[in-house]
Order: sequence, then structure tokens, then C-alpha cells
Amino acid sequence: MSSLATTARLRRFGGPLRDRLTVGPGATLLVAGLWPLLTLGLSPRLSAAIAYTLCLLFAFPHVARTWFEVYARRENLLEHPVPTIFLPLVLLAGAGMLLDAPTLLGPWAVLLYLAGSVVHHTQQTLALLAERARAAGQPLTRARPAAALLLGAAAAVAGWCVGPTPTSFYGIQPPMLPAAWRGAAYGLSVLALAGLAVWLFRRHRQGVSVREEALILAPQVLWYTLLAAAPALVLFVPALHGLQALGAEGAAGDREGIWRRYGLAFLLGGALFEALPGLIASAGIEVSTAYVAVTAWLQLHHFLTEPLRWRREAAR
Amino acid sequence: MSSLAGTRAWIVNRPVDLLLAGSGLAFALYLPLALFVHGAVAPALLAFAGLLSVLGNGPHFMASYVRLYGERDTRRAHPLVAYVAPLLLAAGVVGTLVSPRGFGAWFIKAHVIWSGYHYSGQTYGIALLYCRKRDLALHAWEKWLLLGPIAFSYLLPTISFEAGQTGGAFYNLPYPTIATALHDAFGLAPPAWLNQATAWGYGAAIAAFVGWLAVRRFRGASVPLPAVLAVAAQMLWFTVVGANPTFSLFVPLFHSLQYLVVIYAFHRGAWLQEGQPLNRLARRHYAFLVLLGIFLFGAVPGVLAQYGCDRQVAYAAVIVFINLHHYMIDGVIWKLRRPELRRALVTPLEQAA
Repeated sequence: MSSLATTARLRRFGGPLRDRLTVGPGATLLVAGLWPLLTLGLSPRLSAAIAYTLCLLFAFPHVARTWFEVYARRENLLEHPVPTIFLPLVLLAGAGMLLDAPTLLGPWAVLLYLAGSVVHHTQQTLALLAERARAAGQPLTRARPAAALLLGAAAAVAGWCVGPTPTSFYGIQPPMLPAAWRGAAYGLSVLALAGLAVWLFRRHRQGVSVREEALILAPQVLWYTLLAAAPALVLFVPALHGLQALGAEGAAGDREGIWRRYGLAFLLGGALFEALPGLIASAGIEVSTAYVAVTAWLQLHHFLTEPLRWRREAAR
Repeated sequence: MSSLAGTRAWIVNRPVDLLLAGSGLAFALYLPLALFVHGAVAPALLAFAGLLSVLGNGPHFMASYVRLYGERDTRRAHPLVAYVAPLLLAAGVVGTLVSPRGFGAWFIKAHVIWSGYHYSGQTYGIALLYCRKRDLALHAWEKWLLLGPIAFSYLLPTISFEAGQTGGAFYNLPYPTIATALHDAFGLAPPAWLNQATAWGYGAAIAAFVGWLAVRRFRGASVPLPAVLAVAAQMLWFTVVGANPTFSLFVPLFHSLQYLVVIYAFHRGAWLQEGQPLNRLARRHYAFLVLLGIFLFGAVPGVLAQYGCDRQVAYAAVIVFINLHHYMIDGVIWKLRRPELRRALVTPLEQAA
């Protein structure tokens, strides 16, 4: 009995409610349920501000946690100088160029950020999936659903880039794709969903309990299908991704001092994502350009360094 | 006197006290600026002052927040400042966002007027602290002599400004002088002799202060040098530098450095008991204050802007909120009659630890 209980506990990242809400699809479904209010009841500006506030609470602290975890350990810098030192500096130079030539580079920075998000969100989903499967004693082997997840998310992003009004990021739109891509994107999304279903079915046939795995896959599938279809909802995706990571962190890391760590990450996240663009804008740079440059730099840097944390957690 | 030569006589040590708590740094910086920098502020210096503000001014505000909200006893002892004042000030922020040129102008005005009073209070407190550390018992009339030049150095520029017709601007938000407001509301004007009387009062206060210093020295019970320096620095900040806008940029930094020295001394005893290197804990505390300062001063107005508020007005409103709250907090948490403060700031370190 106790071993069963232990297994059940290990298969979750926290309590059942927190697990379903943060790591699973609970929060995503809540946001999706608010869709009528967000699109019909509130102005787009207020809806975006609410999404931004959730980013302040979850997405930015999630990024800041990576800074603390990666740069607080000297060995990370010595063992991985390329993602921790070299590439961030290259990205910083890119952000400087973006501030200098926003019209030319802005759309490409947005596209790079969106593409990086696709890869990063998929990496996180896979990392959580692998961790849970390992804890449950049913480790993933060759059958990783990476291709299907990536395909689905990439298709959704391609859909955003189709005109006449592509999804914009702080008022800057990614390079526009031909209208014919919209149909292709839908087709690819369906294909990706089918691929995931087949993968889960095969796991089930192998005797694996796929319910928990499906719950981990569900958020990303919902982000890049249901939420991606509504401009008011897609702004919530970074916050939901951050919430998922923060929710999983409690079990993976040291529980003691978790609120202190979150508090510091909250402050650093706010300082980096909000105060820094404000500072740059005070030097006479367009506010939206400053936000895009800083956000793209911080997020791409996060995409590069976060896998170092996952690797260390997996090793533990 | 030799028994006082150790940690008792200084808050941190001789150079730190003279440069920062006594604001010797202000005098050191004033001379080259007065000689070589004239006219409008250079953009590079403005940016440099902004950076110093993040590193010095922000942490000094945040240190008072940490002192109030980080200590349960302090919070409980001052519920009005800890819980009621933030609500009232938040209402002030809302009022400023709704009516930047109406209510906002007076919200800013409250900050501008209180600011000088707050500086004066700190100068007076630091001067008294050094006297206390040297076992210098001051009579009530001596305290008035000490306070005189401090108070008049604040009153002179304040009255001169408020009696005039040209208001100021804070983050591009204009605010009136009291004279214009009185004239517009009641048709009143300040008496013509007010400025001159204040200037005479200032001169008399300086003369009395210098005389008192001389008498004290003659009697072999000199007023401590950092105390004299602190008073002189306040006079420099408020009444000498008006013609040099570049130097004025750095005045909040000097005030903040004074404060941070006291903060360091206050926490030092507790840090020593933690058994970790003192400098490491001090650095960690300072880094936290910098981070908190960047968040409150930089991120909170940005978030308000995300909700559709004017960015400049949001910055002004949040800065005024933090400043006014800081003045209120400092008004209650630094009473030397409290034993824990005496232990931290006056008692020799060896005894306190």
C-alpha cells in the first residue's frame, strides 16, 4: 500500500489540486473559460493588461528563476560558457541592433522569439513528461512525442503570421506569410494532434497508464490550438507556461524557502521585464521597441539557459 | 577620550563616517564641479546620476521599508504608518492618475515640501547621534543652536520658492507655488519682508552655531567633526548649490549614503550573530534593496502604464507615494530612545554583540 501511495505521490509534482491546476491543464482551461468575458466583456487593452499581470506573476519570475539558478553556480559558467556567456552577449548585441533599426529587425526579432517559444515550450513539456514517467517507473524510451508537439506548435505560430492582421507583439508584427499558409497550418495542426493521439495509444498498448501523461501534454496542446485561435487568449500563453514551470519546481527542488525564492524571482522578473524597458525608453527610444528588444533578449536567453536546469534536475 | 577611540566613536569607521555619514564626499565633489562644470547638465552626467540613484537612492528608500515591514514589533508599534498610510497614499496615486494637473500637482507639492524637512530631520538626527556616541550631553538650548542652521537652510530656499510666482515641474507635471495658489484662491500675497527675514534668521543661526562650536571647543568638549560636517553639508546642499544644477543631481545620493551607513550599523549586530562573514551578509542585503528599489520605482509604474495610465504620470505618482511613505516611516522608526536602536547605534559594537 505504501509503495503504491509513494508511486502516486511521485507521479505528481505537488498536491493533486496544485498539480492539475499548474502542471496540468487546469489553469489553461480556466483562462479558456474566461474567453467570453475577455473578448466580449472587456476592452482588448484591459484583457491584455490582465494577461500582462499574470505574466508578471508567473512568466517573468519563471525566467528570473533561471537567472538565479544558472548564474548563482560558478560551475555552470565554467562548464557551459557558450549558452551562459557567449550567446547571451551575442543576443545582447542583437538587441542593441534592434534598438538601432527597429523597422528592419523588429519583425524578425518577433519571429525569432515566437519560434524560440515553440521549441522552449515543447522542451518543457517533454522534460515534465520524462520526469513524471521516470517517477512512475515507466520511463520514456524512443517514443518521444517531440515531433508532434513541435509540429503542432509551429503550425500554430505559422498561422499567426498569416495576414491580413498577423498577431503582433508590443505592436510589432512578425514577417507576413502568404494566405495559403493558413490552410497548411490547420492541416499540420490536425496532423500533429493525430500523431500525439497515436503515440498515447501506443503507450497504452504497452501497458503504460497514459492518463497522467495526457494531462501533462494537454496544456501545450490547448495553448497552440484553443488559445492560439483567439487573439485575447494567446497573450496568456507565456503566463501559463511560467505557471507550469513554477508549479513543477516545488517537487523538483528544495521545498524549503520556496516562497522566498519566488519573491526574489518576482522582483527580479519585474525589474528585468518592466523596469529595464522603461529605462531604455527614458533615453528617447520608442517604448514598444524597448519592450520588444528587452523581452526578446531575456526570453531567448532564457530558452538557451533553462535546459541547463532541466539537465541538472534530471541528473539529481 | 581614548576609550572612545574604537568602535564607539564612529558609526562604521573614521573614513566611512567622515565621507558618507558626515557627507565629506559632498564637499569633495562640490569643489571640482564648482570650478569646472557650469551651465546645463550634460546628458552623460544625467545618466550617471540616474545610475547612482538606482544604486544609492533606491536602496535607501527600500531600507526603511525593510526595517518597517521586516520587523514584526516595528509594524505593530506603528500601525498607522504601516497599514493606514499606504492606503491613503494609494488613494493619492489614484487621484494623481485621474487628475494629474489638479490633485496630482498638490500630491507632488506635498512631496517637494516634505522632502527638505525630511533631509533636515536626518541631518539633525545624525548630528545628535554623534554627540550621543561621544557622551556629549546637550542642553535643550544647545539642541536649538544645532537645529538652527539646519532648519533655516531648509526654510530659506523653500520660502523663497513658495513666495515666488514660478512653480516647478516633476516628471513634466507642473505644480504651483503656495503664493500663486493663495493668490488664485483668496487674492492674498505673502509679505514682502518674508524672504529677507528668513535670510537674516539664517545668518543669525549660523553665527550662533559657530559661536557655540567655538565655546564648546574652548571648554574642551568639542562637537564631533562628523556632526559639524553633516550640518555644513546640509547647508551646502540647500543654500550653496542652487547655482550649480549638476551638483544638485547628486544631493539625494549624499543623503542616501548617510542613511545607508546608519542602516548598516543597525543591522550589523544581528548579522554578526548569524555567524557568516559580515561583508557577505551586508552585500546580500544591499543587493536585495537595489532589486526591490528597481522593482518599485521602475516596474510598478510600468505595470500601471500597461493598464492604460500615462507613463510619465504613473512614474511621478509612484515616486511621490514611495517618498511620502518613506518620510512617514523615518519619522517613527528612528527614535533613539528605543533600546534596540541605542544598542545598535550608540553602544560599542563589542558590547552590542
